[in-house]
Amino acid sequence: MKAFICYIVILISLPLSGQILAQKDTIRIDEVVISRRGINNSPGFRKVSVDSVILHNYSTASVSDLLSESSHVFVKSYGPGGIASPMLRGTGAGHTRIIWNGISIGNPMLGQSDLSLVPAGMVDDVSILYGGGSLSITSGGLGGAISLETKPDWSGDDLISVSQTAGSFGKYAGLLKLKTGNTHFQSVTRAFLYSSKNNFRYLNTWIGAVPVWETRQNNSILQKGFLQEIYYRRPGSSGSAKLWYQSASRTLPAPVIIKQTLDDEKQYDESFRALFNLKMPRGRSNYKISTAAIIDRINYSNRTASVDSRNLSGTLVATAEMETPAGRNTRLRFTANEEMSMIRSNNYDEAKMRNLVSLTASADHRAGERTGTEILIRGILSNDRLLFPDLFTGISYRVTKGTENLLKASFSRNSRLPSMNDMYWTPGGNPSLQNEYAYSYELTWEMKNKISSILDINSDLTFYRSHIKNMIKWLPGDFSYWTPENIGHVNTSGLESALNITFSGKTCQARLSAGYTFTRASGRDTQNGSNLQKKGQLAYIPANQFYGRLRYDRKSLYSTISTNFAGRRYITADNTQYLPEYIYTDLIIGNKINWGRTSFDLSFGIENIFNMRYQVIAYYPMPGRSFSVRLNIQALQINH
Amino acid sequence: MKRIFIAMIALLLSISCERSPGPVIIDFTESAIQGPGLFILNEGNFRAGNGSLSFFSYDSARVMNHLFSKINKYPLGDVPYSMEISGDRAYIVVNNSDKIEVVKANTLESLKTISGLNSPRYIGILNNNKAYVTSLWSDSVTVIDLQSLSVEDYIDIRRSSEAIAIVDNQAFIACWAGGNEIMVINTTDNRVADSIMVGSEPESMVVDRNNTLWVLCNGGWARENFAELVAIGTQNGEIVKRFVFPEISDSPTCLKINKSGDSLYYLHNGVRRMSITDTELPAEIFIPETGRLFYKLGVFPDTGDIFVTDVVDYQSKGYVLRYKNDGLLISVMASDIIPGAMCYKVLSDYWTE
Repeated sequence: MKAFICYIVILISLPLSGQILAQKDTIRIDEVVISRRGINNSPGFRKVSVDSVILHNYSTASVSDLLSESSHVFVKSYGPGGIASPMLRGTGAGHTRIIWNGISIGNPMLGQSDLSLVPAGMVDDVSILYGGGSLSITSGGLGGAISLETKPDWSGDDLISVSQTAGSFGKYAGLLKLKTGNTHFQSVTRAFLYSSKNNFRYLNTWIGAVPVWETRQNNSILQKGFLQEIYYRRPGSSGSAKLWYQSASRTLPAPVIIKQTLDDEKQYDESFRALFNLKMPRGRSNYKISTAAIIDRINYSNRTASVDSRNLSGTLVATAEMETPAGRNTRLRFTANEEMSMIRSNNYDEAKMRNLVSLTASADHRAGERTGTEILIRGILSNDRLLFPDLFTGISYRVTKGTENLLKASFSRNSRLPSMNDMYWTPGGNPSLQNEYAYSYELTWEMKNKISSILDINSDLTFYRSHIKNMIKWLPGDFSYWTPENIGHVNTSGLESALNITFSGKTCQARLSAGYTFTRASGRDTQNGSNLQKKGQLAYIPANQFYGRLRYDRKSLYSTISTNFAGRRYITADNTQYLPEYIYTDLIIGNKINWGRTSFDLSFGIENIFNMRYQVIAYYPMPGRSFSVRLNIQALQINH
Repeated sequence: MKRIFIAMIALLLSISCERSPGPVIIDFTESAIQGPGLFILNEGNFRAGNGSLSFFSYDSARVMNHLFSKINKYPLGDVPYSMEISGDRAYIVVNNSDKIEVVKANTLESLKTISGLNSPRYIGILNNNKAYVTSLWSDSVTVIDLQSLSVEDYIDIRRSSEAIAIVDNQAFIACWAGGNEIMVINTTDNRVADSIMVGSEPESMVVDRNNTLWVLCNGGWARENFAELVAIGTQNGEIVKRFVFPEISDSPTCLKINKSGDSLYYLHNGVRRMSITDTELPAEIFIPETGRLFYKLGVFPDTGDIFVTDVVDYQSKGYVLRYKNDGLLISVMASDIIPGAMCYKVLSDYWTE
């Protein structure tokens, strides 16, 4: 109770202290893009971008932390430092694609990504494309896609930014960002270091008749990353080169219901990504060429089980795109993409290769100020096998002329190829697997209302439904091992809503963001056309989810309180067991002081301030109340 | 603004009530386990911690689920794998929790948890003082002092171990995972006395009325060897019979024997039955799977009823199927996730009235 009273006192006294400590602030305005008042770039589907202010606050955290605390994305996490998989719209981890500057960085062996290994400070923009809308950037995202982008800042200024975070359980994170160049050439260098023991205390009520306090063991992580970006632009062309290396060494803890053994289970992840882009406008047309090379290494060992799994994958990507107008209001886009993956693993019989070639044609038509439509079709050739094409069609309609009240509707067919492990893992891999596919449709009502000069209210409400066919499931085979089969059918449906209220006063600003989702995801298994078993809600899909965040800025001071709720999640296929709902609340209080062209941003965070005990995955406890301090120093050199 | 903050905090507090964050079991059945029946160990999913204990009661002719966690207020653990009853105690071997739960056989109340084990699989009880526990991931067999319910010793057999059968003063240990031997431990001095070469991956064993040890070797998961059923004389360790399964793809499991010790049962595309005097493996299936996925088998000693578990898809709750000893299906009862090994609770005076 004392802690609660202290918290209230601190929160209420913030405005007062802000007045006392107020200093003259300089506001720099970022690049402004002016466009005609037409329908925006996502006809028919829902796309949400993470607020840049929040992204800045999470610069030394992972994208999984960022998304789980500021969006509708449910992140299935094994705990701090552990594997974290995004789950969108009631689908599995492999149904959300992670796209970095237009290329997929999902591991081709696993068919999914570990978001806990993507530092939020390594990207400048995070967007979520829900459902079939993800087809605009990739195929296979039956639930959607998360787009991570790095972008140039053509102001020509030099920048040095250093962020450091230290916190409970031996946590340290550091991010360095150096930017230099002019209005034609730019170099951005980022380096990241994160380490944590994650040795938090938890009450183990499952190991025996008497609950015991234990310390989480074998839960450490050491992560390093480096990203170099080079950008140039000239009147006739622009281009970029990006090199991203990172490694993570982790010890993996066991579920608390089994004996904790030190250094028993380990995983080492290493990845190298190189991406080259060239854009050339010619007349009214734009041409774009991209090439990328990705190397991923995952070594997993389990001493007790005598497992030593060594996996190396390499992927080469080449993309050519042409965008050209057709008439006054229509733009056509043609994209050819080739993606070749090669795997070497001691869990495969031999090195395996997969070559994917896709051709995409899309048309984007804007009829006046009120209507925008898009149609996209993509044919995919997988190792000489032509797949049924993916399709997206969407429409946006401005309900009232001159306002930002939009009605959006879309229909899509999206397909996902089996992962390489599904096909070639020994034992059990099934090379004859078919691709999973989904028919989805959604309806969105989007409103952006400027109530007065100081008050903005934005909101949206989406209904969606999706039928996923040929879902791949690993099943017991004839012998002692399992094998994947296309037997699952899943229906997902639900609603997503979001509300953003911004109040901009003379000396203060408050922003409330909140979102609620309802998800229904049920499935049944079929074989030879007959139903095997009907299921309830799919495991680990919460029906109800809510997040809320209130940020309050007063001159140099700011505070953010955020809360997250996830409802009951069933952990068995027949819905006989579940994890209870949880809610946790985080608080950040900070002060950003500008001193000349240097700014000092010092913030103090309390995570899980009410010390809630909860689990996202059964028998993997999450930490209770913890603390962190973050300091960001940013020096700007204006060159013009 | 302050009021909004206070209202928000009050709202948060009202929905932030402390409660256990662990899994909650929804459907729950009261248990009455005083009478005869058989326990079913539902393995649950590996590392998911959702293993459980069920009991088929002859009194009520139904299966009661989640008994251990209901009675003891904590979950049984990860992959409960086998169980033995000796006197008024029951020993539940919980494989991936590296422990044995010792409970009262009639009430299932916890007496003690024996830890210090490494991936335990089966327990072989010698007498009231001593038991042997096999291990999948270590090279040792653990000796348990049943008086203090603690680890007494480890016997290094330099191999992984699985099934165990005790005959007189010999403990026969099957080396299943990648092995092809039966290790013989002299129970008087806990030393390895002998080893007997058998087929690839000896998986289960029973002792017949003549004290002959029958070993079912399933041929290994890679299907590089033929499965075999081998009979060994326990007095001299010599192989007296050897049946080789006809197809390299044959993968029989779960050898059991009836109370009189003259009929063998095992799973191979259904339930197969043969006499210990047969000269060939049974060509016919005694009880067909008929679309189910048979996993473990039991033959209740007093009634001869045959119990088979159906794991469905290894993710949903499975079933226990009860057949008469002529193969006629009596009932299908819902159990929990991956119903596996069975342990008979026999009351010697129950069937005599």
